Amino acid sequence: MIPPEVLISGILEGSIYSLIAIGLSQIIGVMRIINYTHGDLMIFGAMISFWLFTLFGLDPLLSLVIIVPLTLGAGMFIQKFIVGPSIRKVELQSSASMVITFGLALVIMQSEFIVWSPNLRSIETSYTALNFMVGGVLVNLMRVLALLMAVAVAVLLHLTLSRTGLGRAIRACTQDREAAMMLGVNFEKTAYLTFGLSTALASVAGLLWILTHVLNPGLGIAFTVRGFIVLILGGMGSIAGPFIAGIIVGLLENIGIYVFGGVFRDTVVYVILFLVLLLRPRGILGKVEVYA
Amino acid sequence: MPKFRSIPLGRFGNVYVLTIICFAILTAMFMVGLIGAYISSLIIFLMVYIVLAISWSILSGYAGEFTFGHIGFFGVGGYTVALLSFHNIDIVIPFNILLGGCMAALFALIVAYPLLHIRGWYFALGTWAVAEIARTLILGFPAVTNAGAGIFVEHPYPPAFDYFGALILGFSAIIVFYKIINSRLGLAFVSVRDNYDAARMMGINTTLYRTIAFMIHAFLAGLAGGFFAQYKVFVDPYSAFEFSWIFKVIVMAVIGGASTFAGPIVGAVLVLIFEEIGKTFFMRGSLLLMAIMLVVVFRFMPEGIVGALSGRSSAPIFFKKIQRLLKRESS
Repeated sequence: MIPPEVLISGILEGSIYSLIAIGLSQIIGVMRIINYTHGDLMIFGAMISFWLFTLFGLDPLLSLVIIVPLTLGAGMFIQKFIVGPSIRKVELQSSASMVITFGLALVIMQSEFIVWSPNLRSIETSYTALNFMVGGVLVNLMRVLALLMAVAVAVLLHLTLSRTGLGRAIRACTQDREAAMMLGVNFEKTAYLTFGLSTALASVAGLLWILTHVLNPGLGIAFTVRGFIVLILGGMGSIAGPFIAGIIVGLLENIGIYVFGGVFRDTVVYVILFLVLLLRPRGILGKVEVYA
Repeated sequence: MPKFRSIPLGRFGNVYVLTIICFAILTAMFMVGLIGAYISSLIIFLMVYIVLAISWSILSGYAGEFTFGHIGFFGVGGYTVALLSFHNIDIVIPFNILLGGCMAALFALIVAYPLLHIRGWYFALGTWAVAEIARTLILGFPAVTNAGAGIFVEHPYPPAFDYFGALILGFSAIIVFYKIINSRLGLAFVSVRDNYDAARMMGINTTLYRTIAFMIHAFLAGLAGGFFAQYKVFVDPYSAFEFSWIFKVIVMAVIGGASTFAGPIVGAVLVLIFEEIGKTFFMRGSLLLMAIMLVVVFRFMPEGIVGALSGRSSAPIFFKKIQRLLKRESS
C-alpha cells in the first residue's frame, strides 16, 4: 500500500507543476513560442526571494510584491527585445523559437550559476517547519499553504483571462492571430504582456518550490521539461486541463519513486510523456488540435 | 537552380578535391611530426564535433525536425562500444564503432514509431525523453552496464590510430553529407521541411523520409559516440549523455547555418575555438560564452553565418556587403 504522505507530496508537487504549465500554455497559445527559458526564470524569481530573505530578512510571502513585478518586467524585456524580433522574419517559427529560447535559457542558467553558485538553496522561516497531524498523517503546513496558493493563482489567472481586456486579447490571439489583429488587437503588445504574465506565474511557482523543497540553478531545464509534459498531458486551450494533468504527473512521479526507487524518477515521467504522445497527443482535456 | 544547392564552398573548387587536399595536408603534417599531442587532440575533437553537427543538421536543418535527443544516440553508440569491451566480446576496431552506429540507428528505428507521428515541438520533447530514458535505463541496471561507475574501454592501439580514425570519420561524414543534400533524398528532406502537406500531396512518403532522416542522424551520432568512447577509453552515463553536448551541437549547427553544407563545419570550428578560449581564460564560462554567441547570432542572422554569407534571407547589412564583394569576384 502506498503511504498517504507520498500521495500528499505528489499532489503538492503536481500543483506547482501545474502553475509552470499554465504559464507555458499561455505563451504557446498566443505566440506559438516554445519557451525553454521558463524554468530558469522560475529559478530567477525564487533566488531573488532567497536573497531578499537571507540578506534583508524579508518574509518570502511578502517578497512576492517585489519578485512578481521584477519577473514580469524580465519576461516583457525578453519577448520585446530578444525573442520577438528574432523569430519575426523566420518561417518555421516554433522551431526558431526553440533555438533562441534554448540559447537564452543557457545564458540565464549559466549566469545564475555565477551569481548563486550551484549549491542547493532553500528558505526556512519560522513557519515552514510547522507540521500537524490529520488522521494519523503528518502534514506540513507550508505545503498545504503552497497548494492553496497554487489554486488561488490559477483561479486568478482564469479571472484575468475571462474578465479583463488583456485576457480577451490573449484569448483572441490564441484563437486566430490574423483575425484578432484585423479587429484592432495590438499583437506585439499582447505578446510581451503574455510573456511577462507567464514569467510572473513561473516566479510564483519558484517561490512555492523553494519554500517547500530545495533549488539550484541547474534544475531550471528540468522544470521546463516537466511543464511541457504536464501541458501535453493536459492539453492546450484551458486552465483546468494543465492543472489536473499537473497533479496527475506529480502523483505518478511520487508513486513511481516509491515503487521503483529514486533512480527511475525521470524515467517514470518520460514514460508518461511517451504514452501520451503515442495514445492521445491532444491531451486529456485538450480542446485545441496539436500546434505543430 | 534551387536555393539550397547554392554552396558557398563551390566557388573555391570541387568539394571532393578540397576534402582530399585537406585530408592529405593533415596526414602529411602528422607524418612529418608537425602535429603534437595537443593539436592532434584538438583535431580529433573537431572531427567528432563535425560529425555531430552534420548529423544534427541532416535531421533538423534539412528534414526540419528539431531534435534534442541527439545525445541519446551518441550515448547509445558509446555504450555499444563500451559494453562490447565490458563483456569481453572481441571485435576489431573499425567494426565495433560501426556496430555502435548500427545500434544507434536500430534504436532510432524502434523509437521512430511513437516519435514520427508527431511533429514540431512535440517531436523535440519526445526526442529529449528518449535520451533521458536511455540514460536512466543505463543507470538503473548496474549488473549489465556497471551503472554510474562507468566502463573502461580497452584501447590497445597506438595514438596515431585515433588521429587517422578521426580524420577518416570526419571527412567521410562530410562527403556523405554532401552527397545526401545534393541527391533526391536531400530534396525530399527539404520538401518535407518546407511544406509538409504539399510534399504529401506530391506523392512523397513523408513518414518514410522522416524515418530515413532520423536513422541517418542516429547512425552518424552513434558512430561519433562509438569513436569518442574508444578514444576517451571511458564512458559513464553522466559524460556520455551530458547535457552540454546537446547544447554544443545545437550551437555548432545553428551559428554555422543548419541548412547549409558548410554551416555545420564552420560552426564546429568556431565552437572548438570558443571552447579553448573559454577554458583558458574563463574557467567554467565557456558554455556561457557559447550561449551568448548563439543568442546573438540567431537574433541577427537566423540562417547562420554561412547562410547569411551565401545570400539567404534576413542577413544584416554588413553581410550584404561581403556578399556583394564575393559575387563580384566570382562573376
